[in-house]
This record gives sequence, C-alpha cells and structure tokens, in this order.
Amino acid sequence: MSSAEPGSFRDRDSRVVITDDAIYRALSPEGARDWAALSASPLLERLTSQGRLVGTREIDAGVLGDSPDLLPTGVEKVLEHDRVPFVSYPYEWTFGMLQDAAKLQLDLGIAAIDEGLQLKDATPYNVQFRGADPVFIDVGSFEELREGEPWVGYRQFCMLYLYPLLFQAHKDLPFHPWLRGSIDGIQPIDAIKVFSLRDRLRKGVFLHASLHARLDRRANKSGPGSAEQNKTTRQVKPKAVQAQLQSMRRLVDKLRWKAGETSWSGYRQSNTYSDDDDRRKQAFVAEVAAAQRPKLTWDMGCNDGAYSRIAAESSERVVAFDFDHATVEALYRSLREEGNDRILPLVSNLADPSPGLGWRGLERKTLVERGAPDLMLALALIHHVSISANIPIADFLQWARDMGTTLLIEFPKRTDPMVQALLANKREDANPDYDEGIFERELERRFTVERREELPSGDRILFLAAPR
Amino acid sequence: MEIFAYLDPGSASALLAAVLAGIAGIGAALRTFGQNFVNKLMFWKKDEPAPAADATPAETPEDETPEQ
Repeated sequence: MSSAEPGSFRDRDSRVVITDDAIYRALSPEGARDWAALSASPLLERLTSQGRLVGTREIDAGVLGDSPDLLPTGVEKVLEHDRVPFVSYPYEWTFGMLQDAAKLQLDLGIAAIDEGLQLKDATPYNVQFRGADPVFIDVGSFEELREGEPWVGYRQFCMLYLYPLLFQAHKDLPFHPWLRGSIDGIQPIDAIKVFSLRDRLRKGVFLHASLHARLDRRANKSGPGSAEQNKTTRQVKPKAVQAQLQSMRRLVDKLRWKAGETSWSGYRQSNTYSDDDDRRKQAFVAEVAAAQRPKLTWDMGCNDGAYSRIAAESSERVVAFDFDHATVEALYRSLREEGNDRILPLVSNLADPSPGLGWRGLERKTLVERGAPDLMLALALIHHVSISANIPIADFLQWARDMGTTLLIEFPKRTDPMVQALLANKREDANPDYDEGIFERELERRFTVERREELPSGDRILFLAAPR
Repeated sequence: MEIFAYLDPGSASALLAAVLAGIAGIGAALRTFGQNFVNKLMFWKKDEPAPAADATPAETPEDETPEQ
C-alpha cells in the first residue's frame, strides 16, 4: 500500500511517497531537471559515500502507478531513498544535535554552489539522525543555481536553526517548546524580545535577530504592496552567498551551551556505577535483549544511556529517551565521538510525548506513529510516571500494551528511598495505586509475566512482560 | 532581481540576506588578498637566512571578517 507522506506537500516539485517497504520521491518535470543537475555533478556520489546525504536511486516511474494528484505538474521521475531507522524532529534533539544538523545544512549549501547548485530551503526537518550521525534526507532541496539570487533559505535558517541555538547558548532557554509550538520556527520579531541589550552585542544576535526584526517590522508597517517595493534589486554573486554560508557556519560552530558542556565533562569523568542492584539489572537487560534480538528498543528514561548501550549489543536500533536535556546532550556527544549509529538519543518527556503537528496535525507524526518498539525498557521510571506526573499505573501499562511491545519494567517499592523522596511532598493518599500488589495485578491483566526478579536491595523488582 | 522559490524568503529577510552576502563576500575577498600577501611575503622570506631557534614565530593573521 502506498500513500503520499502528509509532511511533504510544501514543495510542488517533489513529493515523498511511503509504502510498506520503500520510500519514494516523485519529481515534477522541474524537479527532474534539478535532480539531473545533481546526479550529473560529483556532489551526489561524494555526499552519499560520506553518509551525509541519504542513499538515493532513480527507478521506474511506473512503481507509483497512476498518481495524477501527487504533483500539480505531473510526475516525471521517481527516486527511491534508503530508509532512516527512526524519524526524529528538532524539538526532540539536543543542542548539539541541532548544531550538527545546522552545520550539515550549511556544508551542503557551501558545497552545492561549487557545483552550480543551491539548496532551495534550510529546514532541520530535512535532516535525520542515524544513531548520532546526521544525514540530509531531502534530495529534492537541491536545485540549479539561480545567479543573482540571495540565500533564499536565510529566513528559514534563522527561524528554525539559529534562533533556537542562540536561545539555548546565550539564555539557557530550552528551544524545544518553541519549535514544538510553531512548525515554522521563531519569528525574528519574537526572537529579539528574548535578548537583553547585552545579548544584542553578542556575535550574530545584532545582525540576524535585532536588525532582522527591525527590517521585518518596517516591512510589516509599510502594509500591502510593500513586498514589491522591498524586493531587493541587488544581484548577489554566488561566491558572496557562499561566503555568507561560511560565515554563518563559523558563527554556529562557535556557539556553546554551558550546561551541556558541564554535563559532558561530568559524563566523561563519571564511572559506570556498580552496586549489586545495577549489576543484576545490567545482566537482566543483556539476557533479555540477547534472547529477543529486537529490531527496535526504546529505553525510556535512559539517563546516561548505560542500559541503552547494553540493549544495543543485541538490538538493531535503540532510541534512548530522557527529559533531561543536559544528560541527553552528554550521551549524544559520547555517541557521536565513538561514531555510534545504533543508539538515537532524544529529549522527550514520557508524560508529554510529541504530538502530531502542522497542517491537519499530520505534517509531524506522534512518537508512536513513527515506530513502536519490540522491546521497551522502563528502568527506574514508573515511580516518576506515577508519583511525579500522576499518571495512573494502569494507564501507563495500557499505553505500553497498546503498542504491542514486550516490557522490561522495574518497580521500586514504597520502601525505596527515591520513592519515599517523591512521596514526601504529597498527600498521604495521593497515589493509592502506587502499590506492589496493584502494579502486579494491572501488569498481569495486560501482559504475561515471563520473568520476575527481586533485586538484592530488596526495594526493587524487575519484570519481563510479554503482551497478552 | 526576481526570486523564484517555493519558499517565501520574506522581503525584509531577502534584503538582509543580500546585504550580508555582500559583506561576507567582501570579507572573503579581503581574506584571500591578505593570505596572498602573506604567501608572497613568506616566499620572499625563504631567501632570508633561517631565523634563530629562539626567534618569535610570525603571527598568523586573525580572521578579520565581520562575524554575522
């Protein structure tokens, strides 16, 4: 079965179609001309072999059958793309991931100009991660260079890459709610409100935010008809655009997020902790993963990723989630340093996972729609879900059951010090369902408990549960 | 200049992009000029006797391009 990807409608010359076992890109006659220019240049082969551009092949256009509505000017050519293991979005990335995606975007733009090509947009939604390795997925973004045009993706780059990075680097302001709140990113006139007078003296802020916002305001005040007047009459040389992209790359490369740096240095110095409970958990996870050989494992509340790494030894792919941005940043940098392409680290709050966004709520998919796991690790998690987020135990278990995943879950009893700390500020009867007996009953209603193991401390129990 | 993009680059943004490209282009040209000048100087210096071991090495010129 094939269907047009609901998130790829914006470019009328290129449309992604997803079937059960392949990803295609339909190209209009105009899009086909741009593809011909890209495929004739050495850039395609070079970027693909470097793993910076998704693997792409031209195939028989008949594969899509009769598809008159796919593109308004018709389908001239069809490409097939390699599949990305798990789709993620910038509002789930860490600072370092967004920064690396921005550098990839700019590198491709710089390289394209040397080959008489350019990128028609500049959105992080065109970048995906294979583990900790960024890859550009929108081959349809490359088009023939139009001499004299300025960088057309400049505004989009600022709104979706630069401002979020500046927010995090200079204000320690998480960019995730901003990008999740607006699919087009942060407007210059909104971005500038966040920066103080001192911030405006920092590199990049004055030109790209302050001046940008001022010009925007002026254009808006001029009212209808101003667009034509405001259109620049300048002819911009491609080499000047290239120099601008290089300058932007230097700016992006120099940005640092202090909390991320601290977390990263702490990560490198820390030793994997190894009390008896931990050793048993590590063995439990290793045994389960080795027996199941899951294609996709989710590690919910991954922390430093120790269990993700163990699971990855026997899983094709692991997605490691944690809501703590700095912790995930340290994990990302460690995975990136070692060239790990099996573990994808993401910033996500289980109590508030990514919803569907954009036009019809379909442009960006919910977390579960992007691929439910075969195995879910929920270690040292349920007490946070139940006590901190007040999600009923039965609801959480049903959510996992609905995905059809095998569940490896740790239940800390009420005697556990962390549970007691979480309960300390709550009314005595606030979480009556946080109880060992209730948990086991609710688990067994939805899953078959295949293995149960009490940890040496006596405060925690591990369960391996297969969906009924 | 007409822009034919599926994406609206924004009139103010396009104007700013054009100006910034101009500045960056001039910066890059100056940098190339400076580099060539230094190279020529180094070529000339090759004929000079080798500096003493404790001599201060010539400083690399800083990147003078205005950072955007």
